Amino acid sequence: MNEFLDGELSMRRAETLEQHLAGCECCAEFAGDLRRAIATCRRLGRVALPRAVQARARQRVRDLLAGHSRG
Amino acid sequence: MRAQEVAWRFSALVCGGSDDAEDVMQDALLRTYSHVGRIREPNAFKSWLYRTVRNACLMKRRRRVNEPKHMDPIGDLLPTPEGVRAMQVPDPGLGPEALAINARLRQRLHHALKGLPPSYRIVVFLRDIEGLSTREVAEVVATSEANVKQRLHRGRLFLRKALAEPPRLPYTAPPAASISRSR
Repeated sequence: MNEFLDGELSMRRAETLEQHLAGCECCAEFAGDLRRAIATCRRLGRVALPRAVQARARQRVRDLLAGHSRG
Repeated sequence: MRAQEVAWRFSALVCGGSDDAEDVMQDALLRTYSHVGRIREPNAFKSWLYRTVRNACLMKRRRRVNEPKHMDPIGDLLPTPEGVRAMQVPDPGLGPEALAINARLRQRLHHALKGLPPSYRIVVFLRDIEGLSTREVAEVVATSEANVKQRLHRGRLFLRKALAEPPRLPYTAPPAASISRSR
C-alpha cells in the first residue's frame, strides 16, 4: 500500500490495486486515511526555525571561528 | 536547503523536541562548518548533514531515556471492516478558513510524531516531512531500503491512528457554584 501511495509500485501492480480499492470500501478508506496522514506530514510537518534560536546558533559558530583564528 | 533549518527541524521533531533540541542543532552546525569544505557533491552534503544531525541526536539521547512508554501492537493498527470507519484522518484543508484547523492539526501531528518509537520517527520525518527518497533515508539511517520501507509502513500506521483519534481535552474543574449546589 505504501509503495502504491508513494508512486513506487509498477504500473501493472498499481492498476491491480486500484481495481481492488474501487470495489473494497474498507481498503479504500484505509488508503484514504494513509494518504491524508502523508499529506498532513508534507503540508504541516515542517517547523519554523525561531529567530532567537538562529541568532544564538550563529553567535556560537562565530565564537568558535574567532577562537580558531586566535588559536 | 539551509543547513540551520534542516538541523533545527531534525532536532525539534526527531530528537524529541525537548530543551536538548537547540544544543543538538548547534552541535550539528559546528560540525557542519568544520567539515563542509571537504564535501564536493551537493547531494553528498545533503545526506552528510542529515547523518551529522542524527549522530548529534544519538549522542544526546545516550544521556537520557526517550522511548515512548507504551506501544500499540501492530495488529491493532491494521484496518478491519468493522474498525476502519472508526478512524478518520482529518484532511489538511486549503484557504484562510482552514488556518485554525491546520494549526490544531499541526499540533496533533507533532504530538503524534513524538509518540512514535524513535526508529520509526526518524524514517517518517526524513521520508514524509523532508521528502528524501527511500534510498537517501537508508543512507542516512545506515540501513537497507527494505528496512526503511518496513519502518515507514509501521510509522505511518501509528500516525494514522494518532491523527484519527480525537484530541484529549484538558481536564477543567467544574465551577464552584455547581459543586456547592450538588451538596
